[in-house]
Amino acid sequence: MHPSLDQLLTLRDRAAAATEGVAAHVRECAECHATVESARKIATRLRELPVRTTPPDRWIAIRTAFLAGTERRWQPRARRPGWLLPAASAALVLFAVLFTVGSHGPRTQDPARVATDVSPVAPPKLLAESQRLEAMLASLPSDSQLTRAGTALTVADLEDRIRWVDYRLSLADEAGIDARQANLLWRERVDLLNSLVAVRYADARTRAF
Amino acid sequence: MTRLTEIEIDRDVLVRAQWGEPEAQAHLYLAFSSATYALIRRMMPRRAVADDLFQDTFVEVLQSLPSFRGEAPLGAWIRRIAISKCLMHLRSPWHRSLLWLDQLAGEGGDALEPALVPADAQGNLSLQQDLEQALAKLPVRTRVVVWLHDVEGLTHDEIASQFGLSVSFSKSQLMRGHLRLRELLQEHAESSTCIPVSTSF
Repeated sequence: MHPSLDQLLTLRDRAAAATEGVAAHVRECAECHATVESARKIATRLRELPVRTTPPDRWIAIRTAFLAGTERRWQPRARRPGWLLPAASAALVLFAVLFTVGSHGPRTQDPARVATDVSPVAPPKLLAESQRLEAMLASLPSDSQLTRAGTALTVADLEDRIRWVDYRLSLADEAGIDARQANLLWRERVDLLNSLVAVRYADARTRAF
Repeated sequence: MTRLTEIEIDRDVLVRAQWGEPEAQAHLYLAFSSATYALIRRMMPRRAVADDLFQDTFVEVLQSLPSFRGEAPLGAWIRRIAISKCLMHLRSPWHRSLLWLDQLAGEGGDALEPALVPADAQGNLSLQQDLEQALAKLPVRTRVVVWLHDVEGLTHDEIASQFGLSVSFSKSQLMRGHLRLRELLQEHAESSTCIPVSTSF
């Protein structure tokens, strides 16, 4: 009876599990000998197959993605909107409270409600939408493992633009920004947050698989 | 082709790369990128997928390098990361949806680029092309097992560990792969003996 192909492949690999009985059979049996030789040739030819060349300029993308990931891991609080965005929102709410108190005298209302009711800087719908998107961002897995250079760069760009909007909003009083301009800035902030959520969500889904 | 485990790198370069020195990291990339890419391309014939997995692999290599303790050759460690990335991709719905699209398009497997070795003047495929095409026709998990065992030299235990499956899975895939490769190569050998009919006199 011929040995199984598994036994013949084990013999080909000169593995310790190969038995002398199988080796003796192969020495006598032309068919099994041919099978072992064929398997050996296939392995040899596989090793000799030409190599596809590495994609050019990939090192730059790899290094960029690596640096983006390192920066997020080691400086998690330095540039991320994780604390900046809620802080900016809190500052705006505080600004709205002060504005309201200054305009209408002391009240006992919830500060957030004060902000959404009367603040000309934070339009109620856009403020609520902004808070909802920030909550979504906070619920997504950490972005410290973004590995694709394109994704990391897009996320960094969106975060920078949000910070820039926040900065301009934080100077609303000094800069004399009117309600229409404030509305435009908040709209821009919501749009940027929407994009950021979409990119981070897509990345989180990719990593989950 | 140089295998990943056969590549040696200076200890000093490795330590400097572990400390994050850009030049040392670039040196390491130059030393290991070709063999890593070759391995990934054999497991993932779809170029765009292979390029992404190659990038993912090296980003993880750089990120995890400080934790590399040198218990195994660096090439074996990189190979493990590359294989893990490829297998994760194979398990993903994204890969399954690509296979489904290929089947709809009638390709029946991973879309392949043309072989590296051109046909001869009579249009005959070389032995290398012949083997490349046969390899590409194997089911993806079978192809990966054949490649890892016969070319990369992984044992059945190591392959089983990478797949998270049993040793018998690895052995049966290898057997299946060899049977199919022999069939396909035989088919080609028989068909290539035919003499093409000339229409010009």
